[in-house]
Amino acid sequence: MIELKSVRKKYGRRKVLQDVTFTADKGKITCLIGINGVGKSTVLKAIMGLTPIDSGSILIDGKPVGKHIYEHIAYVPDNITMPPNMSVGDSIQFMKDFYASWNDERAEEMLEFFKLKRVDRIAELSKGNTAKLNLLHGVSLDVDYVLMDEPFSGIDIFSREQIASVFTSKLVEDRGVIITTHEINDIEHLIDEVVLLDNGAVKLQFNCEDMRMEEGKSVMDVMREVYHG
Amino acid sequence: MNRYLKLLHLEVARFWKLYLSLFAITLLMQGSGIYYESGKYVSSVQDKMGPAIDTYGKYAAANGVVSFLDILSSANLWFLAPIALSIGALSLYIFFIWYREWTGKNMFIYRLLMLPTERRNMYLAKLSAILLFVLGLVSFQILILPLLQSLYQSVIDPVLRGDAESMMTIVQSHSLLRILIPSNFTEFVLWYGGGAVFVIVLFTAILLERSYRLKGIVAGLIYIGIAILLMAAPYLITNRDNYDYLYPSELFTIEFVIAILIGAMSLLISFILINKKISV
Repeated sequence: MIELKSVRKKYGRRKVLQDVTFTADKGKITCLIGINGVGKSTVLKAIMGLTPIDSGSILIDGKPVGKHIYEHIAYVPDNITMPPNMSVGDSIQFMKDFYASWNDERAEEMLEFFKLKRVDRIAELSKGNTAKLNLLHGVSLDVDYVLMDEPFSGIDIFSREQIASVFTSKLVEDRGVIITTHEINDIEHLIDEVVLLDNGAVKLQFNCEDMRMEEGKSVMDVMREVYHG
Repeated sequence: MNRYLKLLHLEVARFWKLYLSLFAITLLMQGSGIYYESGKYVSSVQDKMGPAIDTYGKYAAANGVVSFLDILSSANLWFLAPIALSIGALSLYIFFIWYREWTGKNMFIYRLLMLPTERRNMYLAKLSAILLFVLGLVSFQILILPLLQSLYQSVIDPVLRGDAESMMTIVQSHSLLRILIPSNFTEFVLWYGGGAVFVIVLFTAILLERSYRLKGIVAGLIYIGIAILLMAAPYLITNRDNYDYLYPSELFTIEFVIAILIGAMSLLISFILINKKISV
């Protein structure tokens, strides 16, 4: 389980995260929702130890963030994190070289599924193909958790479909996934838990299925209530 | 292969093309300089020859012979320009080796910080790469000196040349080569150890900036200032009132200890920053 307790962070005087507390379980897809700039990406970066927090705690399966977590948790940021002059093949080799949890067979499957060519340079890939390679780097690690920052942002409809299909496949089965988005429509049918963020604070955390069954509300309905009163 | 070595390999691979270009520019410029100045010397000899001095032998007897060091000195600009270029390129690279990880939309720093290894390995790989590049360029300079000498010998007739100087003589007689290629271990430690500490201090300043941004720039500059002041302190004390309070060997020992302390402190601060404070 990923647990955030009273996490606070400021950039200068601006409070980016204010007492953020929520949990994300293994085997579930948790979606962090909020408009741009509410702190969704900062939450993911804080979990990955990519930005220091001012106070609070972040535990991954009961352990604090440290080098050991990177074999158990993968992060797919909104942009690919490899040098642009690297080829697709070299980037895969890089991951294979550094991560003991790298699953080469899965990487090959995804390479074929996404129709990516090993010889292509990252700088020359289309936005959609860059997003697919980025996802490949994250999902090909045999890790317990995958964090994804806006995986559908700014890409074409066909690439969206291909990426969305990854969520319903065995590729993310049994893993804990935290995904951020400001366009809920694309993924509403995929997610289990929702965490609504506003101005760096958690407004509400709920289970989508329970909400539908007990109150008959979709995620959009709840968002309307929370954000527009 | 351990992850530090993998990271070092990555750093070397990323600089390889530019590094080879520096080798090529050094070889071409120094080679051209020696070839041009040797040819110019031969032409000047031929111009001065006449009915009275009609052979190189007679010319040499009347005017003396030329040495490789003479030609090297005439070709000074050709010789020093690529060294200055290499020093400049590596000095810039001390900063670029860090800042390039944060540039563009594909920020590689995300990946580097998420590698399942101690973050200090990334730091040490960058530091080792810089030191390796410096030593590599100096080694290349040592390697091509005999080549340049052969080039000089191939252009200038043996009669016009003096006895071939040994590499040691050439290095010791050249003001810059003498520093670049130390003749004993103490000098090597002094120049290259000092250089390494300087790079370590700069790395600390860079990491301060990357951790605290604007405030970090001020902190980094203050840190560099303090390091320079500490290094200069023994000289400032010893030169006070124009009176030498310390023997040179004592001064060397004190400088050595201060450098070690500054280096160790900088490494410690850098490791803390890279583990706890750095931000993508």
